[in-house]
Parts: sequence; C-alpha cells; structure tokens
Amino acid sequence: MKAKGSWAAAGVLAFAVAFALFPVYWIVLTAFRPRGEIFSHPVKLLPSEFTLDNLRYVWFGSETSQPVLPFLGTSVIIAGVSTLLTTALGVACAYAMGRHRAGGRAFSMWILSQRFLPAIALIVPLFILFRKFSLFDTYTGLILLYTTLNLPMAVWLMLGFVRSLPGDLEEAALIDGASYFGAFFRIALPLLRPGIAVTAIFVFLFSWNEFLFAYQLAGDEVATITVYLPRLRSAIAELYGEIAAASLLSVIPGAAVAWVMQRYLVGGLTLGGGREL
Amino acid sequence: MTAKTFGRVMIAPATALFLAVGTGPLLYALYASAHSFPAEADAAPEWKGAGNFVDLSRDPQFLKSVGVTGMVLVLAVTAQLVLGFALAMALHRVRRGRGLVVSLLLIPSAIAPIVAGIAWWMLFNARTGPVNAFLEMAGLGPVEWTVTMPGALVAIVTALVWQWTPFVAVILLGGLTTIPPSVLEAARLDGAGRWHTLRHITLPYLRPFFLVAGLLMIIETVRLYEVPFYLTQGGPGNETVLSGIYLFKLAFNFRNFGGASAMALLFVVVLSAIATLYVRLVSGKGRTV
Amino acid sequence: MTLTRREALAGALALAAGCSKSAEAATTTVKVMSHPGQILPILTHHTEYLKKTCGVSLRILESPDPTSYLDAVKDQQTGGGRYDIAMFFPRFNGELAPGYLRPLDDLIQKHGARPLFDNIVDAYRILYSEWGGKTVAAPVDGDVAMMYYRKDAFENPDHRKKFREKHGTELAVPRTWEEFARVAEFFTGWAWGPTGRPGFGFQSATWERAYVEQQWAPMMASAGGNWFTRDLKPGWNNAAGVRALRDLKSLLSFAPPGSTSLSWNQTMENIFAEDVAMVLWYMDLGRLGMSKNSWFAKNGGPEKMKNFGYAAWPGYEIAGQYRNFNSMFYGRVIGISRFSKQPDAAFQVLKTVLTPERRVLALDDDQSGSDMFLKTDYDPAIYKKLAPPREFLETARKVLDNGFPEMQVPGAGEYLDALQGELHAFLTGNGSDPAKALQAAADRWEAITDRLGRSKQSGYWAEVSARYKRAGLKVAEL
Repeated sequence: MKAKGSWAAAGVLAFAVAFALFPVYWIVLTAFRPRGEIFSHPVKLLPSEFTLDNLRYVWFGSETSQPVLPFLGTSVIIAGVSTLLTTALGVACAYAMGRHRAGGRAFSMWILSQRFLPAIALIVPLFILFRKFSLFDTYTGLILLYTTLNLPMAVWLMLGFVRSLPGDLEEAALIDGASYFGAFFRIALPLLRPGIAVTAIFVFLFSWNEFLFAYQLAGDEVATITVYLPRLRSAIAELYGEIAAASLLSVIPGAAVAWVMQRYLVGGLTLGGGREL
Repeated sequence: MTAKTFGRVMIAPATALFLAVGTGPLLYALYASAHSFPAEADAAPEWKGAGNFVDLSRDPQFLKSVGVTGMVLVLAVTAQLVLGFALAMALHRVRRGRGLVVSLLLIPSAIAPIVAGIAWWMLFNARTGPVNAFLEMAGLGPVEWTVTMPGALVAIVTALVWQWTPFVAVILLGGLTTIPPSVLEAARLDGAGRWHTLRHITLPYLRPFFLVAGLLMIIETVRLYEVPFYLTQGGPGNETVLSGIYLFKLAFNFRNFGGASAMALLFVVVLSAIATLYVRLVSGKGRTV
Repeated sequence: MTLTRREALAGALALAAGCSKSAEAATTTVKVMSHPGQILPILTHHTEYLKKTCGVSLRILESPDPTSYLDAVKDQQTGGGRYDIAMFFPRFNGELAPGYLRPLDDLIQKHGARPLFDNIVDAYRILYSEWGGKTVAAPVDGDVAMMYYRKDAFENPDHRKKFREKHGTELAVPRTWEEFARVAEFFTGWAWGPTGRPGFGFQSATWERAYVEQQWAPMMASAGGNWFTRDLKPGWNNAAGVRALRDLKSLLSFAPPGSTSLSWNQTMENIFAEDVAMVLWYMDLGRLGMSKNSWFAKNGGPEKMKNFGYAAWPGYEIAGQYRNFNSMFYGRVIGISRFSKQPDAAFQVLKTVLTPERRVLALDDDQSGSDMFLKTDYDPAIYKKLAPPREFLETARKVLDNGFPEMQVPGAGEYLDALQGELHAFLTGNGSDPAKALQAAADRWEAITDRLGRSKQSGYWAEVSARYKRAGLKVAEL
C-alpha cells in the first residue's frame, strides 16, 4: 500500500511539474526564436529556428532596448537586503508574539491588517513622505518600504511555525540559566529553520516581483527589473523575444534563492523536537 | 530582563516601521476618500463627504469589478488551496528528488507577474497560442479565450492557479514538517485509516498554515493588477476588470484619487470581514488567532 | 511642390538648423522622458550630435507609452524637476498644456526656429502642437492610418469579371463603407491569392480594448458625428455612431478568425501570412514593409508588400454630403516642462529633432517607429535605407488632410476608457443593439463631464473645436 501511494504521489508531482513548466518552456521557446517565428499560424509547438538575437539585444542593449543587467543588479540588491531585514525582524516579532504573547491579540490582527489597504491608496502619501525625506528614487527608500510591506506576511508565516514548536527545550535552557535571547538564538532559531526558509523564499519573491512602488517611487536612477519589462510591451513596442529573454535571466536569482532555501525546508530535523533522536 | 521586556524589544522595530510607513498613509487615505482632486494639479482638494462612495455605487465598472473579483477569489483561491494541499502531500511522500521538484515548482512564483500575464496571453491567444493548438489536435474547435466569457475568466483563474499553487504547497509542506512523526506513528499503530489520519491529525495541524496561505492568496487576488491586465486588458468589454485593475485606473488613468482612496477603504473593510470569516472557518473552536 | 519653392524651403531650413551653442563651454544635461522601444531612436540618433555641437548631454528616462503623460502630471504635481522634456500622446495635450507645458513661441522666436515649425504638416501643427493660441509641443511621430489594398486582387481580370457579374458594378477601391463591405465580402471565403488558402476581405490595425476606438471613431465622424456637441454632450450617441458601430461589427465577419484577440503585431502577421484584400493600418506598414529587418516584417515581407496599393479610408455619403476620415490617433509629441531650468538647452533638442537632415535619421531607420510628420518627410529621395514607394508617400500626405484627430480635452483617459469598454463588449459579444452600447457609454460620459465641471470642459472643447475648423476638417459641428 505504501508503494502504491508513492507512485500516486510521483504521478501527481510529474503532472504538476509539467503544468508548471509548460509556460516556462514557451518563454524559453520565444526567447530563442527569431521575431518572425514568434507568432506563427499554425502554431509551432517545437523549436524550429534558433537565434541568440533576443538574448543579445537584452544583454548588450539594442537600438530599441537597454541592457538588462543593471536592472537585475538593482533588483538583487533591493530584494536581497529587504529579505534579510524582513526575515530578521519577522522572526523576532513572531517569536515574541508566539512565545510571550507580546503585544497581545490585538497586535497580531493589527499586523495582518497592514496588508489590507491596497497599495495604490498608499502611493500619494508615500510619494510625499519619500520626497520629504529624500527617499525618492533611492535604494534605502525601496528597501525600507519593501521591508514594511512584507513584514506582515513574514510575521504571519513565522507565527505558525513558532506555535508548532513545543517550548520544552527552551524552557529547559532557561531553567539552566540561559537568557531569553540565548534561548531564542541558540535553541529556537535552529529549529525554526524550515519556517525561516519558507519566509525568506516568499519575501524575496514578493520583493523581486513588486512593480507598483518600484515604478511610482523610483525608476530613474534606481530601476528594478519589474520596471524594465513593461518598456518592452507598451503601445508600439511588442518585443516578445526580448521580454522572454529578459524574463529567463530574471528567473535565475529567484530560482537560486528557492534552491538554497528548500534544503532547509525538506531536509534535516522535523519540528517534533529531539525526542526521536 | 523579564519576559515582557524581551517581548517588547523583539517587536519594537517592526512596530516602529508600521507606525511610520503604515499608519500615516492610512490616515491620508481616509482624508483623500472624502475629497475630490480637481484636474488642475495646483488646485486644492475639495471636500466631498461621502460623495466618492456614492459615485462608486453608481459606477458600473466598479460594481462589475466587485462581482468578478469575488468570482475569481472563490474559484482561484479554492483551487490553490485544494491543489496546493494535494501537492504538499505528494511532496511530503516522495523523498528522492524532492529538492529539485520543489525548486522547479517554485519557478512560476519566481516569474514576474507581468511576464506571467504576457506568457499566458500568448498561450491562450486564439490564433497563435498552443492551448488552441492542443484543442485542435484533440478535434475540438479553437476558443477565443481572451475576448469571450467565460474564456477570459478561465484564462485568468488558470494563470493564478499556475502561479500561486506552488507557493501554497510549499507553505503547507512546511506545515507538514511540523507534525511530529510520533503522533502519526501512534495513530498508525492504533489502526487508524488514512482518511481518519488526514481528518483528525493532519488537517488540524495544518490549520494555521491554511490560514496564512489562504489569507495571503485572498489579499493577493484583490490586489492583482499585472496578470489580468496583460492577459485580457479587462476585456471582453469590462468583464474581467478586476479590483486591482480598476483601482489602478481610478488612481492613475482617471486621476480620480478621491475615488481610488474610497475604493481602497472599502477594500479594507471587505478584506477585514473576509479575514474574520475565514479565520473563524479555519480556526474552528478553541484555537485563538 | 515646385523646384524653386523646395530650394527656398531648404535654404530657410538650413538657416534655422544648427545649434546656437551658448558661450559657456560646459555641457548642460537635459532630461527627456521618452517612450521606450522603437521610439528611442528618435532621440538616440542625436545624442552625439547634441553633445558635440550643442553642448547638450541627453539623459533619456523611459516611460511606457500609455501612461507616460501620468509621469508628466506627477512631475507637475510635485513641483517639477524630474523632466525637462516629456513625451506623450497628443490626446493628453489638454491634461498637460494648462499647467505643465511651457509655451514655445518665445523660444521659437529667439532661436530662429520658425521655418522648422512651419515645416510641420498643417494637420499636426494646428491639431497637435497648439493650445490656446500658443505652440506648446512638437511632434516626433506622425501616426495616421490608410487603406492598403491588394493590387493583385483588384486588378485580376477574373476577379473583376466575377465581381461585375455579381454586383453589376466595377471592382474598384471602395469610396464608401457600403462599397467597402461589398468588396470585403467578395474576397472572403475563397482562395483568390498566392497562399492558396481562403482569403479575407478586411483587417484593422488592432481590436484590443485599449485601442478599439481607433477604427470606429473616424467612421463615426464620417457618418456625421463628433467627439462632443457644443454643450459637451457626447457627439456620437446618435445615428452616426450607431451606424458606424453596426457597420464595423458586420465587417468583422470578413476578417480572419480570432481577429479580436490579436494585438498590433499580430494583425501585421496576418497581413503577411494570409491573403487579406484590404487592410486599414498605420504608416509603419508602408514605411517599413519593404525592409527585411524591420521589427515586424516576416521573411518575404518585401515581396508581399509589392502587391499593395495605397488609398484613403472610405467614408459615408449622407444626404448628398460625402465625408471620409481616417484615424489620426496616437502619434507622439514632446513638450518642455515649464519647471525646466534650462529651457534653451531643452529647445535645442526640439530644434534638432525637427531639423530635416537630422530628422531623416530617425525616419529612415528600420528599427525606428517614427512616421512622417514634416513636409520634407514625404520626398522619396531622402530615404537611403528604406524604400517606401512614391505612391505610398503621396497617399500618406493626402490622407492627412482628412485625419480625424484625438479629442484632447482633460479627462481624455477616462472618457476613452468608458467608450472602449462598451465598444469592445459590443464587438466581441453577441449583443445586436449598438444603440444600447453607445447609450451606456454616453451615460458614463455625462457623469464624467459633471464631475470634471461642464462649463470648464465646454471651454476646452470649444478651443479644440476651433482648431479642427482652422485645420479645415469637415467634421460635423454639433
């Protein structure tokens, strides 16, 4: 029975991967197709003509597009730093809330409700705020903003993991004379690795893919990849080959983060504690 | 240091950020929703009271956006949660190659929403898209997905399920790792069937994770802009003008910032209501949030 | 244009061109907000020249076309300083002229640029460069649509015989939309062309929701409608608008299947891949179609382009009066921000873009999306890389006399979005009552006008209307 279940599971996964990757296949196809081939009728499901032109256009720039690398670099910095900040603050917050009921019940609802107000309503006041503190079109501005925007999600994700962690090991450490900080850093944190991994992945992806604020509150000196892409698909510019090529390049950092993080997620100890050891 | 102080220290930075960047704009949104902003940029905003809300109630595109967003919410989020759970269980089951599979499955979430919108537009394109090519191979006629209903709705829900189900699955997988194997082992020794284990052990342990995943998906769907915009442009007509698209139009294309703020506040109210309902649904009795 | 007049113009232009470099040697940075993609070459061709000859360092900040005017508005609302020059669609002139654009007449005078502006085709000069009696913008891309028809299909004796037998009249380039429908129907459904597949009668540039009015509005104007009446009621919620919408929907059955799902580039793919007898497209097709490297031409494009002839859009003959308009939508203009601290340097950029010897660089470029708008742009001799046929250029120049322009009153974005929603719903749906669709859009227009202030909007529309008249457009005055 167990073997049959494994086969069923494998089947589900195979189907899921195929579904997940077919559009990616189409993007790859488009990225390496000459312009004239991209919209063929009848549809060319398999690769026919191959060209590196689109990749060249976005890598080196062309008459109609800028090089993509600086934009990717900006995104890496902003998403990377804000992920570190958000995860750190989020874990701290969630731990205090989960273990010590810091802030009480109202606090946790207040945190989640931060995400209820659609971003668009924030544009004008944030614009004024940013202008006032010279944060407009700066790395600092976007990093601070993303940290604030993603903190609620980070806290909520971590809360679940914190609550699922039985507190006995920490209690034991405290009885032995460890400080609260010590119990947190040396006992709880390592056991919370799966939660931290999940949180980090998603905070990174959300920051990486964020468009509205990257466009409205930055975009000239500090321009992310999400600001770069709409320039290839506007009224006259339908540069699908370039979009596809740039997208492939932009998936790499996100996929890299996911690859690194998933090891903490799927391997190692479960949170059942040390009893099984 | 007492536990209480420790707690306060740990939440202080987050609280400061929220107060600075979260509360101020909320107050401004309240102010803006009660004013109208004239076309001339230098003119001062004029008091409008509840006028913006009244205008919205008479605005057919706004009303349509509420309806279609609700439909997409129900269809997409349900699918994401159900399929995400199935995926998480399957991932938990399969040990070999799990890391690679998780990374591959997360690629859709790593693709910028604008690209997801454009990619699915290409896939669903009536003339040059592979979806219709496959349909024709199976002997079924081509469908004009993006300019008919319910085709456009199906297209959007498909794109959303594609992009976010792995996200949900990974959260739930993380949740599955919190179930102590001893509990599962004990149940197995007691002769519990698989369905029983699922209902009485697995799902309860996953409650907080369903909660988080579901709420995040709801918030995300309401905010959604790029995917529906590049997929259908809100068409056919205004049939798929989701709330994210209409908010964007109000604020930017129409420069009706009063109306946009009013709509945003309405969403705070509605989302709070949905969140409360959802929390109650998933939490069941006894479990505090 | 006679030889001597051309020489005189060239002489005047030569005098006006060239930079007036100021005494200080330091370079001034001019920040230009530009549309991305194929529009960039309009400016990038002059980066070196501007730096060396004018001491102007160009800093280009890209902004996607449909919302670029919003960036200009935001610049205005925050006290300026982000851009010296902004680029936008002329439909938003009304949004920007009152408070953001710097009137240019004093600069034109100071830098002797009058001949350069006079060299702009009248339609663009009066309709898209002026506001309230002042010059506020310069075009950089002149979009106007024409009819591209398949000469091989029309001139084929067998086809002519068949058509004569069926309809009793000669197969000719249609002059009215009724004739157009007849010809389109005639060419739909049988293999009349080299592809060997059943052909189609008609294709429009785009049916996308965001641009759907570009096909209907000129038809509406030809039928006797207008954007607004004098008291700011919609000028198309009447027989004219209904007729145009009904005719357009029935024409859809003569277009390739799936047309309403297609984007701009995809309708172009249609043109080269299928046999389509009449295509209503913008200037890019004719200017770039002969080039192998243009961003849309499929392999073999130049060969297929040789089959095309060029004509104006049909019109309507109603109660003895004949009107035919074609779309003069889109196009791009640039203006100087009144907050700019270096208007003279910024004006050098405008001068350069309008100078014929420099202008031709962006025109004669298969990667550039800039179409003709200067009087000197229509001379086949100036093209060295592209090979637009003389016939095409002559027709392009002619159709401008009947171009139906953008509406330009403030709120254009909102008005058009309301209209587009209803038009798109009607064209893609099963509804059979165009009057109902237009009524729904008209209700929205009234609500928008009330919100923006009826008397204010009437004032703006009166100003726009007066310019329509000055440009000689035979639009119905409602």
